[in-house]
Amino acid sequence: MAQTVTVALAGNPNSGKTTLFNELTGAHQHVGNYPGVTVEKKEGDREYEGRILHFVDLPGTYSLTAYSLEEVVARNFILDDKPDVVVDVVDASNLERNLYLAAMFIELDVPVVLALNMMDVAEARGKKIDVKLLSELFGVPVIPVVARRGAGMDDLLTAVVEVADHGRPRQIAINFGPELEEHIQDLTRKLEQADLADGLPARWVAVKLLENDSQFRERLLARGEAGQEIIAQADRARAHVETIFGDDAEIAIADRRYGFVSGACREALVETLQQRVDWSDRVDSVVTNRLLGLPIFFGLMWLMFEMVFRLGNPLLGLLAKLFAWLHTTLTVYLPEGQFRSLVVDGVVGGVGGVLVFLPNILLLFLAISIFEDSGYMSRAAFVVDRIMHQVGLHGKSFISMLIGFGCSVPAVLATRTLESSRERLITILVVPLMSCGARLPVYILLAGSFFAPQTAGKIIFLIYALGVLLALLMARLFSSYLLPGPPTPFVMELPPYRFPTLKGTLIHMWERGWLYVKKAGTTILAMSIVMWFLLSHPIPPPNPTLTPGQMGQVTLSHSYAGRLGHWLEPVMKPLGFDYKITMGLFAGLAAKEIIVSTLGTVYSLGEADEKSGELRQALRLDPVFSPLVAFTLMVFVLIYIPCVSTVATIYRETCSWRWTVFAVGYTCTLAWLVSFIIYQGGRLLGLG
Amino acid sequence: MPDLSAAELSATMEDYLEAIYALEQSQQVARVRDIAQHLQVKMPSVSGALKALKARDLVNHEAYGYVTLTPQGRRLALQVYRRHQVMVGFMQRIMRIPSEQAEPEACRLEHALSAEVLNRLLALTEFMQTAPQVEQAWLQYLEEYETTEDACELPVEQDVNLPGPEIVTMDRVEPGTVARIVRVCGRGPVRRRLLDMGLRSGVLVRIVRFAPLGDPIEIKVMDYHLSLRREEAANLQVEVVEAASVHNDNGAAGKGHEGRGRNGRHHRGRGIAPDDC
Repeated sequence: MAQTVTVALAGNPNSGKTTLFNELTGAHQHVGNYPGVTVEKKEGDREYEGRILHFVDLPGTYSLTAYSLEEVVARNFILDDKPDVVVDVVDASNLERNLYLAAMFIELDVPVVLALNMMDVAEARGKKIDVKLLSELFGVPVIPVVARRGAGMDDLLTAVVEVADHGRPRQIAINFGPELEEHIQDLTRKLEQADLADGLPARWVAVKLLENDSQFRERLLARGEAGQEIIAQADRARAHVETIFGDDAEIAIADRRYGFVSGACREALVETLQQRVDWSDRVDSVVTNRLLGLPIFFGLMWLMFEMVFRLGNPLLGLLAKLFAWLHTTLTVYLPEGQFRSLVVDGVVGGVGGVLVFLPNILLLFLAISIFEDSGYMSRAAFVVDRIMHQVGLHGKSFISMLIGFGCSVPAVLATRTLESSRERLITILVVPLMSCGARLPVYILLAGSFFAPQTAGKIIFLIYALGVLLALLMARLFSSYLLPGPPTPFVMELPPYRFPTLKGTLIHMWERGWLYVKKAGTTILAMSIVMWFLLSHPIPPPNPTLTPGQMGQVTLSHSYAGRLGHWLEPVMKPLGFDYKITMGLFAGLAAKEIIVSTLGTVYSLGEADEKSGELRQALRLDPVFSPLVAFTLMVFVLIYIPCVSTVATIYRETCSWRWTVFAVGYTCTLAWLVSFIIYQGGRLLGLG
Repeated sequence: MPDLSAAELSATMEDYLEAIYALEQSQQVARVRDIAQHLQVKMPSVSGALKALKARDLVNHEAYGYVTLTPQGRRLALQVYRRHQVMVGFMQRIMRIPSEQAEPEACRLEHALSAEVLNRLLALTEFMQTAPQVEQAWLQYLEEYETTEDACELPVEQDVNLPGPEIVTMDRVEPGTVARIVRVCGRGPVRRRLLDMGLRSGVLVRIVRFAPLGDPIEIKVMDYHLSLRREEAANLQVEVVEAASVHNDNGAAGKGHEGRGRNGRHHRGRGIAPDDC
């Protein structure tokens, strides 16, 4: 029987970890989440010498503290799941900073193999690394690889198997200097005596206690008197260290750790030639230039937006045609009845609803992978961070919000580029406020019906601006009140520009797209069927005297959705909405553009779109409507619950019903409040 | 590692063993007279010492005959001899002390130091010998350190007319400046992230540019580029090593003289030039 070896892939962001992972596992990948958190977990298998190597891609981290979710996930995986081997991917062209993480794995005393990636880049930059010496200094195998070209894979796998079988060749302990060592050894002994290390290396726990690591602190405090005693001792030790160094123990320890690393670097690294022509720096002096930086950024964003929606929409049109064909074909061949209605309107409609997003999503992720893999993403964040920081968000949130103008579903998915889960959650919550493409038909219908052609455009622009304003405002509120806490450090590497590889980009695009279909897709489908049921049941008794248009109107008002419209009318009255509008809004949950066709049904017009003159006429004739009500309705449509697809995506991305319910709840409340203020305010001003 | 605790010999006795061993090596046998001459002591002292050593079964010695080491005595003598050689080696090769001075100093030191310290010294010397690259690097750094003009003195105390390096927070430094981090302040995740990214005291950084809207800023440290917000940069106290030569908008300032100090050589101590590693 083949023996499975679990290999954790660790390393700094931008160290080429993902490229190596793709190279090692090829298409045999599985993307999921770490249990209970939104951090992406990628796994993949590779057969080597009769064994199955199971690779787990850990989140890219610079360190293993308890401060960031990604680092906690990475270190808990190593501590709790105890992988047989940890492969630490090290960027050879940026050796010192990358080895800092390696030093932590040495401290952790886990079986490590260092994969020295981008040796070609390092050599081109005139850096020669004595691999053998480095391996001796760290006491672990060091394997030079070039992940982009797949060079050195066999050597790496051999080393992995070797370490899995025989452990590390040499034990190396990082010496933290006499003052610190005394405390470390003392705490280590105490931990061992009290047997409180929980199977972890006691020395590692001791160092973490001196660093005042919150996770280990809490863990020990929960362990009764013995644990509390050790914490008390650690506190005394930290106070003592502070009097010696004039800085706290955390700094002293990081200093010594870096000392070990830079010592190793000095020995193992020889710079053969100095300062080459660094084209990456040249590019940056233009791309992040004071004058050109913003125009270039907006230019690229425009290009991305155009690509995602201009290029995506024809494809989307093709898909829509396919589903329309399927719809008519099935209607013809299936016997009339409940089953046909379910299949044709529920399932085909639902699946279609999922897949129509796919072209946009794939193109979006294509663009995002190119930005990320080339290194532009962090420049983009650098250029616009000032704006986003004002509202407590990260520069990268901007990209999500921009995508939100197209469609909220990919916009929510795009938040995956954000490293901090707090900023990610806030971005997810506010992104639906960016007015998506599906809301535009509603605006066109209403603005076109109630405002002069010259004003209509301005009114629609006003709605878009209101969305942006509310999004920024809510982000600000959420980051200061809903999710307060220490600011997430922005401190971000600007990696050298690299040409994205075709393979990497395609894998990236495909796996994200597939993840959407698989995860969000199933939820969207389920919700679409529920919506279909609510809008078409119970079925009214057939009445042959009615026209099909009138029949549709009867079916709708007889349905649960129609009844809900009646029940909710008192709530919506203060906004100037009657039950017809409320019904339309409810139907709009399926997808916001459906509001238009539902209004068509409500006015017994049969099929109708935003340009249809009949519908505009019907709206104008209805005494419920006035320009003020129309404007209020546009505002309400802008803000209220995102469509079921977005809700499903939010649920899939946050992995939490609580946050999903919150997103639905707050948007509804906000929509009601803002609409109330506008409608009642407008009436007071005599506009109604 | 020599096992010194077992025998618990006094320093003098160790010297005798060492002398006998040396004589055995050079002249096949050791006589009392030779020993006295070698150690520059009187013959009766030698006799007394030999008696004590014989009592411990470390030497064979019949009255007025040759002195030879017992197997155990030879083992101990070898240890002492090797230790001596290593001490001399340490002084000559690592501390750069001339051999005529190193010999007697080593003799005195090897007895004065505790076994523990001696063991560590031995380990260090042996380590250096087995890793020639380390030794070479060590010597190179030492030389560099010693030849750097401002090796130890603080310029502040040197010349009152020249103001000492001004310490400012990094958010207030112009692009193009090379600065050395003096202190990392702040707390919590931000400071930890700064430390983890290699921003620690002694390190040289180069402020590359400000973002188009003035915030965040881009710096170069340890040969990589990092962006951080001004409020984060305010946690870093730096001293300016090289002021921005011409104030020009980013770009042009980003070339050439990366991370070189005042005297154009690598920085000493913990100072690590951005392109060092």
